Amino acid sequence: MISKALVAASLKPFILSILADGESYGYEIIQRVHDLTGGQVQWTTGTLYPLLHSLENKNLLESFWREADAGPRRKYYRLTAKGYKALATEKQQWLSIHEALLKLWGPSPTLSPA
Amino acid sequence: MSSFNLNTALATWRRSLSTNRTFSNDDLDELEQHLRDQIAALVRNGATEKAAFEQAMATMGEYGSVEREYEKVYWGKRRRRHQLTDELRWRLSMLKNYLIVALRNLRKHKGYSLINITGLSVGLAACILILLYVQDERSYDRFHENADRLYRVAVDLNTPSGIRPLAQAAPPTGPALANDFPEIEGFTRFTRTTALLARADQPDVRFHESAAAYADSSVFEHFSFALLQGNPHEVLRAPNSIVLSETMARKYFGDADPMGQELTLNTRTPVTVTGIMADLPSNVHYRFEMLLSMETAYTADDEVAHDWGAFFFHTYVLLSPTADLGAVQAKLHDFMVRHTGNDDPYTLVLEPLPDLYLHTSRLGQAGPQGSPRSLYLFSVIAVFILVIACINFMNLATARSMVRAKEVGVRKAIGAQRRQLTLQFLGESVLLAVIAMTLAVVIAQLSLPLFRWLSGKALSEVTLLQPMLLPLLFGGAVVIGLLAGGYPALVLTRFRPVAVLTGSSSAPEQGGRLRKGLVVFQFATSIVLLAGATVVFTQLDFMRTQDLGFEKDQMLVINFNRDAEVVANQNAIKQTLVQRPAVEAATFSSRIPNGANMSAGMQVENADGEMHGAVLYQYFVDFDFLNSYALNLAAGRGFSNAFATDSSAAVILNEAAVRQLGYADVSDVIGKPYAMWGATGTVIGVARDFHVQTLREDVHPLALHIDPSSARYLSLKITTNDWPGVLDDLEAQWTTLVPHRPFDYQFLDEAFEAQYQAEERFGRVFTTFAALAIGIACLGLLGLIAFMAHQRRKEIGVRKVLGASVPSIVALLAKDFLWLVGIAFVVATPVAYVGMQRWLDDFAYHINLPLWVFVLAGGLALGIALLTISYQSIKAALADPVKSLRYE
Repeated sequence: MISKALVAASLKPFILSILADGESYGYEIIQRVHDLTGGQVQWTTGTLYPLLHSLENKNLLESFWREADAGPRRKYYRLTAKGYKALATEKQQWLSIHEALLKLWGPSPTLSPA
Repeated sequence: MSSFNLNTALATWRRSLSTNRTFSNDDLDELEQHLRDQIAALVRNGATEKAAFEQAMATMGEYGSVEREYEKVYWGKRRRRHQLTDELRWRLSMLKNYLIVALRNLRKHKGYSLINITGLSVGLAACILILLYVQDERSYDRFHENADRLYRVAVDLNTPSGIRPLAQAAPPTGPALANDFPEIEGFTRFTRTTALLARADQPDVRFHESAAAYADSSVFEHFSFALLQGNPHEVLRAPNSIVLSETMARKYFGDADPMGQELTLNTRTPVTVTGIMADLPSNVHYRFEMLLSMETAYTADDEVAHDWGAFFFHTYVLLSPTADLGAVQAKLHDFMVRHTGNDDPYTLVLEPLPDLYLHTSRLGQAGPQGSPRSLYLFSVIAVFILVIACINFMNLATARSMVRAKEVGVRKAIGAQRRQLTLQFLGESVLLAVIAMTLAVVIAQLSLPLFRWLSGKALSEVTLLQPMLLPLLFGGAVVIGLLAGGYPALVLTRFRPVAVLTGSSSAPEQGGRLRKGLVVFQFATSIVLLAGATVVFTQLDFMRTQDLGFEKDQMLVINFNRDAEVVANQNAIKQTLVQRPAVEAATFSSRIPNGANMSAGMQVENADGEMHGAVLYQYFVDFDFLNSYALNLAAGRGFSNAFATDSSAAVILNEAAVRQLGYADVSDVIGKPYAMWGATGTVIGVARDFHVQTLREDVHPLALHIDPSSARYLSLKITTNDWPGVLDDLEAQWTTLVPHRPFDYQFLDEAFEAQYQAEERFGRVFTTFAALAIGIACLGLLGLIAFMAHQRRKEIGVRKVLGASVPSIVALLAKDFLWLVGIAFVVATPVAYVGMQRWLDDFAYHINLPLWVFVLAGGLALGIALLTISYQSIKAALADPVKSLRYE
């Protein structure tokens, strides 16, 4: 399992990145993260939605309700222009940390046994 | 699986969150849909609905963390607006709830509410009345537009026996000041007179008017007395002009137009009505009902107009707006030296007009003076009554907190915060205070006539409804509500819901000690007030019954105001009257005890053989004076016809005068020489001290001379009690002897009594408020004991079942409170002692503070408390134990 702190830190880039691929809703986002990380990153519902709302408050996301013909009413989120900019910044930061760590760990990193 | 219904479970979950205001419906929809998606996926993978639900709930996060996370977000700026309207709506509905609960509480506990509101509103009403009284006393002469620029010119006379402060100045002072000082715009002088007035066309219908004065023509320019008819600059300019008050105009002319009409003054002088003024407001220190122009009696050519040594003009000067008072005062000494030609002249003092009623003490004041000490005392009493009423409020509220503890517990369990509860209880007490204040205004309004009688003040309804007062009063009510509700709110909101609701502490004894302390304070205050009232009346009684050193009973006095015809015929008048069966003695004199005193300097040889100068009261009397007034001699002899020198060269001093001279024995002064007004003679006798003034004052040095030509009063000693007969007879005689003067008389004992009006009023007000204070305190006690009896009804029931007697239960309940009254007594006695001793020190002759006063006050308080307590406690003790124990 990945540490709580790291999970918390990765919430925002995950959300922004997933929504950059197209609009989505909460459950789908959690599922995608679950699938992408092979179950390594588990988000609680109670943290995801408040964060979505908070990003919406900051105008990085916008939300809308979509009534499906067959199926339940869902609240969808998508990135705003500001959200795309924020994503770029996020990306920049994560990459620079990633690169720095790579330099430390050598050209062909071997993962230590979990 | 059959027992689990997913929809019900989700609905339950949703309800649990919906109580939290943080979640909007949309938020819940979103969360619910998430759960449904998650559960559906889990069920597809083979889990049961129940297990899937539980797992989904687990991934929600820790209990409570969802709410917390949402709350954090919700204070973001975008949602804030929604939030605030929600908040407002919520607050309003809570407010409504509070109000409903408050009113329900009022209605449900009628007795408690009644005691609370009655006590507070009566206390507040008393405060309002005292406030009006104080305000009225402080308002004297402030209505004049020039009040801040008008000053009275008073005189500090240097005498060998110290400074004599006089309220009146010499006639030339005013004109000379206005002439010499550019800073002084003008002057107005008043001098009192008693006028014998009649309409010119009805010369036989005469009235003796004592509220008359001669005044300078500037009076209506400088002072803001309302002149209804006539030109303010002209009305008193010409000699023989008179300005009447409306009442006087009606008295003399009825509905006819009084302007230009003629009146006859003192049977000789015709005067013309040149103006009508409104009746004076009550808050004027110099009162008059008619003004005569100064030139009618005094012209600038008169000798007295240049006499710097005759002090009988109340003199007021108007300073220019830019004048510097200090600079003017600094120049007054040189001014006096210049005009009197004396290197060491007496001192002129400028006193601000608004201070004259309350804050000056001089001889020859223009009218009755207010007493700042009484004002101060009344204010203190008002505050005490208010505090006593507020204490009831606090005590009953904290006592009842045990009952309300359950409400607090329930509110807290549902999620009320302490802040909200505090606001709720403060709001309730403010509501009560406002209700009480409304009632208080009504009570004060209704009891104004009573208070007018009590205080002798002409307070009008208008003063109560003045625009400035009402906001002040209701602002005050809010403050009182906050103060009185503050402590109960603190106690109530401190309860721990679990403890209260499980009943593990059904009666958390909170604030018991404080409550007892407050009861002690209430009763201590009441005892102080009771003792004070008793002392005031004991002193009053002492002053009334004290031997004054002369005979004041059965003494009828006619003031004929130095009428020349009466003076000329005094022997004939006296002879005729003294032969009437009811008249035992008659005497003419220039002064009488209790009248205005006249003093003059005289020199008498002292014990060292030197001539000692002093200012003495001077009485000019006839040979019958000492006998008629039953004055006793300490040494020497009285006046006698047998000695030719007695009518010109003899004086009788009182003991106070002799004491100043330093003789070891009063009889040593007999035969010693004196000098006065250029004449000389010898001291022939010493009269025992007698009180020509109230017992407030020391006996002043006094000298008696024979000079019937200065007579102003005729005193008759009456032997019968058939007053109507005597008065009819005397009036018939008087009318034959002195046809031009009405038979105006007064009884000396009544006049003396009138001197103590201020004390009497003070005593009445004091007693009334002391009674109110103890009444309110007992009201609180009644509430407390009723509450205690209710609290302990089970205990009482058990005791009765086990065989306790009614008296023992009454004693059980009463014991605690009587103990408190006892402590209050111990606390109150020294306070009352010191306070009343200081009040008594104002009187030159006063009672020794008797101890029984305190015993009486304490006993009274105890008795009243006992009565209050016994009713409730006997009721509780007599209650059927079956009823109180049935529901255990």
